[in-house]
Amino acid sequence: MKKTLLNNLQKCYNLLYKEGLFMIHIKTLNKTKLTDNMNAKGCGECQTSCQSACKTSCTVGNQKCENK
Amino acid sequence: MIHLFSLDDMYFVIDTNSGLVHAADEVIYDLLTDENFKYGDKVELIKQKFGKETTEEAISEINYLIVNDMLYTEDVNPQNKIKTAVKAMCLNMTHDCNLRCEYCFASQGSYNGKRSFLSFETGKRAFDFLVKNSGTRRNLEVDFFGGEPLMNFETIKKLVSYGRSLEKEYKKHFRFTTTTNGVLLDDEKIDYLNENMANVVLSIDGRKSVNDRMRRTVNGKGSYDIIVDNLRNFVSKRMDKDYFARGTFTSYNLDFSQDVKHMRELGFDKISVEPVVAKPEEKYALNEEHLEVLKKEYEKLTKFYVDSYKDKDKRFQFFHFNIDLDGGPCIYKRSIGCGAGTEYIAVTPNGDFYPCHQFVGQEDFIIGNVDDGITNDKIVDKIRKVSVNEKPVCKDCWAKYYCSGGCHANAYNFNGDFNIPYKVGCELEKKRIECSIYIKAKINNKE
Repeated sequence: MKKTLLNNLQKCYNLLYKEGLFMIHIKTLNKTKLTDNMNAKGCGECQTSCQSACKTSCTVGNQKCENK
Repeated sequence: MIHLFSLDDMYFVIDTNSGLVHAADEVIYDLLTDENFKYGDKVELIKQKFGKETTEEAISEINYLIVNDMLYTEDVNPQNKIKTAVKAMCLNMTHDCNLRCEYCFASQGSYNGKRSFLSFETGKRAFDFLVKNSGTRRNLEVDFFGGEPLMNFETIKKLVSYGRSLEKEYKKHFRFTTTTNGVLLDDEKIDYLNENMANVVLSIDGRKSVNDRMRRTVNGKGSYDIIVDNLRNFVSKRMDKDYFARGTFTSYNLDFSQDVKHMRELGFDKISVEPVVAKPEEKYALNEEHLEVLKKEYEKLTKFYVDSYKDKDKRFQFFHFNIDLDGGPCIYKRSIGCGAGTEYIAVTPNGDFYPCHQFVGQEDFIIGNVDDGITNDKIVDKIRKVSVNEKPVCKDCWAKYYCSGGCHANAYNFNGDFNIPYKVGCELEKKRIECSIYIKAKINNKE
C-alpha cells in the first residue's frame, strides 16, 4: 500500500514537472539526453564538420544527425 | 560536471555528460556556484539575499534534478562504436588561385608547392578509393576545394557525373559541396552549382574595406567589387538549398559583427565568420590578448541575431549559432571529433592523401595516395586515438561534447601535439556555445 502510494506520488511529481507546474526556478530546455538510447546510436553517417562552412572551427555540435 | 553562465538577463546550467541544458534564475545560479547549496553558511547568505522560501524552493528543485539524473550526471566515456571508414573527401581541384589573400592557409593557393590542377584521371581514382573504402556508409561527401576550384570547372563537372555513375553500383549517395571565392561565378557555373551542389561556401569577409584589406587580386587590388554581384546573383537563384556566405575575421576587424551585418544587408541570409588561423607573429593573427574583445563581439552579434529574428524578413542563419539541443550528432560522434585522417581525407592534384586540407603541403603528413590507398597507418592511428575523453585538457572541459576536441590541425600546428587543443580556438568556441544556448532560450521564450 505504502509502495503504491509512493509510486503514485512520484508519478504525480513527474507529471507536474513535465507540465512545468512544479519547477519555478529551473526550466530544462531539451527533452533528450546524449546518453539516451546509446545502443541505437553511432551509425557514422553524420557529416564531417569540415565539409561545411567552418573549415577550422571544428564544431561538431553545430552539425545535424543524418540518422533520422 | 556542470557549467554555469549568464548572458544578458538569463542564467544557464549545462550538465556536460547528459547534454541537458537548464535555464535558471539568479537564486539557482548562486546556489550552484561553488556548490553553495551544500554548505549551510553559504545557504544562509543566499536566504538573506533572496528570502527563505525562495531559497528552499530552489534547493528542492536542484535536488529533484539530481535525484532524477539530470544534474551532476555521471561521467560517460563512450567507447568508439563508430566503425571508421573513409566517407568524405576534400578534393583539391587546384593548387592555384586567382586571388592572393594575405591570410591564405594554402599559401595563396599553391600550398607552398608547384601550382597545379587535379586531372580527371586522378580524380576518378580518388572517387574509386572512396567508394571502395567507405564500408557500409551510404552517404559520402566530396568537397571541391583548392585553391580556387572553379578554375578547374570542367573537371568538376566530369567528376560529378562520374560520382553519380558509381552510386547505383556501390549503393552510395554523394553529397557534393564546393567553396569558391566567387571571381569566376558566372551564370553557367551558378546554374550548375545550384543544380548539383548540396552546399556552397562563398568567401567574402564583409565590409568592402575589410574584405579588400586581405582578399586581393594578383595585382594587389581589392576583390570586393569583382565578387559581390556574382555572389548576390548566385544566392538569388539558390532557392532553399544550403549555402553560406563565409568570412574570415582577423585582428584588423575585431568588430566583426559589423561585417556580419553588412553581409546581411547584402542579402545573404546564411552567414558564417571564422577567426583567422595564423602564425602568432603575423600582424593579423588573433591571440589571447584579443579574447576579451572578441567575446564581447560575439555578444554584440548575439544581440543583432536575436533582434533580427523578430522580423521574418530580417532573420538569418549564423552557422556557429546552429544548435539542436535535442538532436545534432550523437555522443559517439561528439567524442571522436571531426574525422580528419580517419573518415575524411584531402586529396592533392598529384593524388597524395592528407588527413585534411589544413595539413596539405606538410609532407610528413602524407598518409597515402590514389594508387596505394592509406599507407601511413602510424599517423592515422595516432589521430584515431584522439578523443575528447583521452585528451587531458578536453576531458575536464564542459564544452567537450559541443566542440568535440577542436581542430586537429590547429592543435598540431600550434602545440605540436594532437592532444593539446589550440587555446584561442577553445575560448572562442566556448563563447559561441554559450551564445547559441542563450539564443535558443530567448527565441523559444518569444514563440
